[in-house]
Amino acid sequence: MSENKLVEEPRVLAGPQFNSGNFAVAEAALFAGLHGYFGYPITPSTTIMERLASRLPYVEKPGAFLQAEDEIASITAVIGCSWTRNKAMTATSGPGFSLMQEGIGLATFTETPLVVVNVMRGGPSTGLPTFPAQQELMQAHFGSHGDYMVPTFAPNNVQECFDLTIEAFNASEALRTPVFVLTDQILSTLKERFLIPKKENIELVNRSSPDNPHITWKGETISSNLVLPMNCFGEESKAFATGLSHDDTGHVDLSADTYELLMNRLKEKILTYQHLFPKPEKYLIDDADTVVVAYGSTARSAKYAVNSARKKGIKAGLYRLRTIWPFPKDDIIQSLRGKRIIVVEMSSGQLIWPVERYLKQDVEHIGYLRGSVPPPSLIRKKIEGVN
Amino acid sequence: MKTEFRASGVGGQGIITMGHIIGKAAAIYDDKKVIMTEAYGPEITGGFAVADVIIDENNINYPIVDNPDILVILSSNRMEKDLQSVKTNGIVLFDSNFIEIQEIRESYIPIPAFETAIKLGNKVIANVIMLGALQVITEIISKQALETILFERVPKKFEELNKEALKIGYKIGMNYRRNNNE
Repeated sequence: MSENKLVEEPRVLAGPQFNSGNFAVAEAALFAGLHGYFGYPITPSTTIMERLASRLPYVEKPGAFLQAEDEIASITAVIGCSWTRNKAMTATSGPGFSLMQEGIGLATFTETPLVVVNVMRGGPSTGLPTFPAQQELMQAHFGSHGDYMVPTFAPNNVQECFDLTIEAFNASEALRTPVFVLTDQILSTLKERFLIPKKENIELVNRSSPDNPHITWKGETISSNLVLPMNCFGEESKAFATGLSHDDTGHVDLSADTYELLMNRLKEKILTYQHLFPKPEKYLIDDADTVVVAYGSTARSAKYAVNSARKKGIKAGLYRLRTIWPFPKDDIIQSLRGKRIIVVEMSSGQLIWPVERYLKQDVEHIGYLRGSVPPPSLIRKKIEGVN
Repeated sequence: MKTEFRASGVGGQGIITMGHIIGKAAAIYDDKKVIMTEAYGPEITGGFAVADVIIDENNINYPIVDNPDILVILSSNRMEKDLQSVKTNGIVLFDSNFIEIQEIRESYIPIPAFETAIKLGNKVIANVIMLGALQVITEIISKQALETILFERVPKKFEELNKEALKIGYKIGMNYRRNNNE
């Protein structure tokens, strides 16, 4: 049902809502202060774009909205918009995320704050365009060429679609980096009650500038050695941005020392502040013998299965990742090592890689490829050891 | 208690709107835990349309409706599939204009929604007549919640039509109400 009539609404809606994950993402972006949306429609992400097309240019403090010719242009326009000291984002799915990879690399190297929402569907290629999957976990980390890390958050309900989109904007501004929000087709259309909190109850972060180099996020001052204050285009001080190796002022410098320093700093700034990223949900894991590891809408099914197993007296638990990258390796080792682990995902095997790598033990796996969330009965049987 | 609801029909009949109104009414005004999912064919009008709503006192994890307690059918194109999925004593409301059910059970209730809508002068109001009947028969949502959510989205010029449709829906529903105290 279309709720996208051109009606006069405040920029930030208030109070309880009953709507979809995509709706929540769009409203969260407006809440966070989105100024530019550039995108190309693709199922199942399109309703984010539709909602912002009908809202962004018409609210008080209007912003720019552009349907570009393709995803390559979209992500590049998002980068450009961000360099005018404005918050910018795009949303896409499947093939669109592939097309954006070049621009994403540029955004990481130029340290451009922006948010990309990837509403995952079944791939490869056109795949299952209207059904859910979780096959872009690795692409979120390794999709573009070169070494880099983009903080990647994964909600599993509509409230989190709202909350984690705001966290994504905050992280992108605080650390001068692109941030991904990975949702999926189920979350995109699933409607639930969610609450848009009062403006004063949510911290919004804006990137530092040469005049104001010290910003804080969640009470921590962000080190200006790791995250450089950002000069933007159209301001008094000059701004430089390049995809070539560069020094701290943005000027090209291909020397070994400069390149190594830059690469290490880019990695370091993400890892240093990863404790500020969304924490995993640990459900009944303390006394659990068997723990299911999952994220996104798959984790909803897993939680149901864990509850069913508990009713039968089986000590099962759920470890749900909310930040995928950087992978919460210390926490997962501390919480799960030695327990029986079942990784459940809508992929033939991506989440299982980091889980196996860090736990260094045998891990069981459900790689569900049937275009829907794995049914709880399937997970419960695996927990029970029935195949 | 957990209630699984499904409305099934074709695009253009207001199926998704129906699900949205029930879901929002239960979630915002009746303060229940609610999940709504929707499915439709690629066509805008004429393709299948299904709205699923789960209402519970507790948090809902698994979001899929497998066996509805309440099924509303406005078109025959998916009828067999939907009737098979419904719980044994599940309530089925069907539009008696479009649908003929061979093995009719006690809990299957014909509602002349389309015919009544035509009499009111606008076929698009059939889903509201159905909503009225549904509320009275099943009490899946409260009357107050239904009216609040419905009229918050109805444009002013259609308010009278919707009011009338709802009233007729309530009246039709009264004939089939299980615990008829009035």
